[in-house]
Amino acid sequence: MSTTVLYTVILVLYFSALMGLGFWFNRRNRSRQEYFLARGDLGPATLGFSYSATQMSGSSYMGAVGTERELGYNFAPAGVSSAAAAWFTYILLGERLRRVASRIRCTTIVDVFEARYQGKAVGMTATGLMLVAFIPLIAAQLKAAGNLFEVLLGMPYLLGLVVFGGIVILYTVIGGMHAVAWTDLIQGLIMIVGFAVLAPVAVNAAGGFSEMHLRYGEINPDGISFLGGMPALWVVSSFLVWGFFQIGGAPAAITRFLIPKDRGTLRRALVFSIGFSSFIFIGSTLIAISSGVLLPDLQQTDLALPTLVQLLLHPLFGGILVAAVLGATMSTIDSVLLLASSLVVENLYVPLSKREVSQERGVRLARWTTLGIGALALTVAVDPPATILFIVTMSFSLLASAFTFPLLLGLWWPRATRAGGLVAMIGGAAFCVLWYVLGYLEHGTFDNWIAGLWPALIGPLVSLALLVGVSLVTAPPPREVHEVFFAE
Amino acid sequence: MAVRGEPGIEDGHGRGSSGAPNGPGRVAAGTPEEPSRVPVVSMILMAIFLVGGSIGLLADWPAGPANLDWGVWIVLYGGYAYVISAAIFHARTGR
Repeated sequence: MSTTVLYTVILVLYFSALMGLGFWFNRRNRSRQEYFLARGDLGPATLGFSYSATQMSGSSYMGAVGTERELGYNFAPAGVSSAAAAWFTYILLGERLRRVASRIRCTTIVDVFEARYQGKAVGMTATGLMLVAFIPLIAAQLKAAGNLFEVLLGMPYLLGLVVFGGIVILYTVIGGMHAVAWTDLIQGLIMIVGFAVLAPVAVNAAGGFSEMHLRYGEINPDGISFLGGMPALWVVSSFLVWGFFQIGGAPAAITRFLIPKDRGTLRRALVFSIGFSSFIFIGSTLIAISSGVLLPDLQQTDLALPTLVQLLLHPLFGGILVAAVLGATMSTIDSVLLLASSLVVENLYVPLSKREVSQERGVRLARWTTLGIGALALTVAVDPPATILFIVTMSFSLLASAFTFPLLLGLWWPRATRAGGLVAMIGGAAFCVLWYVLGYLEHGTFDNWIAGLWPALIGPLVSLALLVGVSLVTAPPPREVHEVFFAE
Repeated sequence: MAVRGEPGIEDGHGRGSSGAPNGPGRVAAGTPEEPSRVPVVSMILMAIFLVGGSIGLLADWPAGPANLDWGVWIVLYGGYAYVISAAIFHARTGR
């Protein structure tokens, strides 16, 4: 059996299982809340894996291995920081969001903003910013998957895109959050198996752990320690940004905190999340360094991972790893798709229509919206314009700049006001875009910034200053906000 | 419709279900909850991770085992051990 046929068989089995899960969970969705949140129905493992699988996208997976291969240990601190993101978000947001969700009716993270900052303007701003970031993000993930199909299976890009996109959109439409979370768990386990097989094989092929680093240091002397290739501020910024600032930068992942019914579930989920992401990020560092040794002449760094798979693994394990990478892509798409859909239904359609929506009609509406957004992203992915790719590049920074401190201080600082929250969101996002533009004017690229300072670091700091400054000069929030958010 | 395990959210007793549309922000009936304690120890551990990690990245480290400098061993691989241990500590104690 040829490698391509074996890969295809594994992927067909894998996709069939995912579709089966979608149909299995179909009957559980009797209300919009159940469809979008699966409230109280997820255990610690499902919740924890779902959080981290959403956080780690497939393209960043391949991109991280490619970038780390090129920059070596200059980029590795972003890995430990990304693993720590779960630790920051669960502890600083998780318990408080869970408590708020148990006190008010909320389905999306925007509902929390609306309740905390008492205004539709805040909700609409948050919804708008998220949708601007999300739809291109879904399109970019679909494009990455289409490219992978093209490279590994020799399938035409368009066909790969339609098959992959069709499956992920369908199981999300049918199964909602139940299907999304359970497929995330399965995809996470496959990722672990894939990396558990590839990392030791790759390190061994590169001469063993010590020899691999010796050889990598000869090929890329700047990449064998933290400093050398990149500016010091760039390295430190990446360390800070990929961990702490995921508080605002990953709203699809933190939506998971609205789900658990008790704090014990949340705390146990944290251990699953952090164990899973640490394993993957350590594995990706080892795979990246070994690929630098084994594939020194590879031009397209993003293809380091699939090329290594083809070079080192039996097609059976190769197929599993390909499924793992596609799984990572899927788990991001499905969560972002579901969140985008929930924003359109819960934060745009229902409030604007001012009509009571029955549970049955609500679920139908949610499904059609998910399908519509998925189809839109699929259409964009057929031939993404350059502006879309720019939005994807800055989507994380934009979200982190707009939401990190309005969310964090909204949950911890009773004095944060509606005006402060609104100005912080808009000001943080605007300054982030400005920082990209200034970097472009100085370096001619959106990937290099003034003094190496990441927009996702500078934008949130501006947002923080605005939030505190404006809140202190405006009237404190009403008592009902205090009761929902801060009363024990 | 009541959400399983969450009395008071949509159980017909909260302000949110008194004929209001299905929007957010309406307060549900009070659900007795044990007070949550501020995770002070975890917050201190986070500050140590962020500040110590940033300083560690800038430091000039001597050569260590396996052709890596000590910085990579301590800040990176030690960092993973640190955050995993800290997460387990929080899960067990809530602090």
